[in-house]
Amino acid sequence: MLGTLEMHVMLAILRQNGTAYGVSIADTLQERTGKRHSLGAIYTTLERLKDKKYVTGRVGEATAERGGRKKTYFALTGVGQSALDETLNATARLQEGARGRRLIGAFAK
Amino acid sequence: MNERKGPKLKFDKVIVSHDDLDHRLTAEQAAVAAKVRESEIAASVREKKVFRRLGMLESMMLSLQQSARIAWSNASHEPARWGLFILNLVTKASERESVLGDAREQFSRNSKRFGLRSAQFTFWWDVLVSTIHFAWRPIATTLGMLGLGKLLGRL
Repeated sequence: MLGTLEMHVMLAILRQNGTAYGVSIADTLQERTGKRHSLGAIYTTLERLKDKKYVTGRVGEATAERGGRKKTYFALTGVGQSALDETLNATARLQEGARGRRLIGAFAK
Repeated sequence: MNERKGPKLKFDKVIVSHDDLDHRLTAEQAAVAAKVRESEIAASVREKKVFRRLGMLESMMLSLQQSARIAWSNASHEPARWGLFILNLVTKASERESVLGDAREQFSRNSKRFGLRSAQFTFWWDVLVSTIHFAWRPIATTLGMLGLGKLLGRL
């Protein structure tokens, strides 16, 4: 099972279709979840995912805006995709029961 | 007859100016008016000179201010060197290039979007939080290897 930030980072990578790098992942997370994550948080998560072989990185181009430093693009591996599917399915199964309860609770009030 | 007193001049009545065509004065009054007019003209010339100099000074100051502002804005698109140095220290060699590049890119974007102060504040906050994250990683690994993590967990 994946942690929350791991899952969010993997989903952000999946959304960007092979063009995901540190800043774009941080932007996507802020845009979609409303929470801002530091580069440190994102890179430590990415390293954990790399260690688990869920994510791979390839060196990209350098730009003047980056002070001539190269980007690292991240992509999900097959193992990573199946781990993400498993986590999302488990979350969805858990949500099914919880949503009903929440509705009953809301109507009872 | 009511004789007018004043210096004996050739003309008894003088036309002072184009605007005062109908306003005829005595020679003495005309001389006084002319003196007043001369002094007024001299004062206005002096004022003009002063104003011109002030204008030149003002434009010089403005251009200096503008050039200073441009220099400041150009220089400030770079994040603080100390911040980058700290990030350089705490990151691994394999990810250093991309982390430092990302930090610079984020700073540049933020300064354009939200202004310099906000970008600087965000940058330093990011450096602080990232340092904690990067520095905690080897500590956590070491604790895990020593089994101290589990021991601390039980406590």
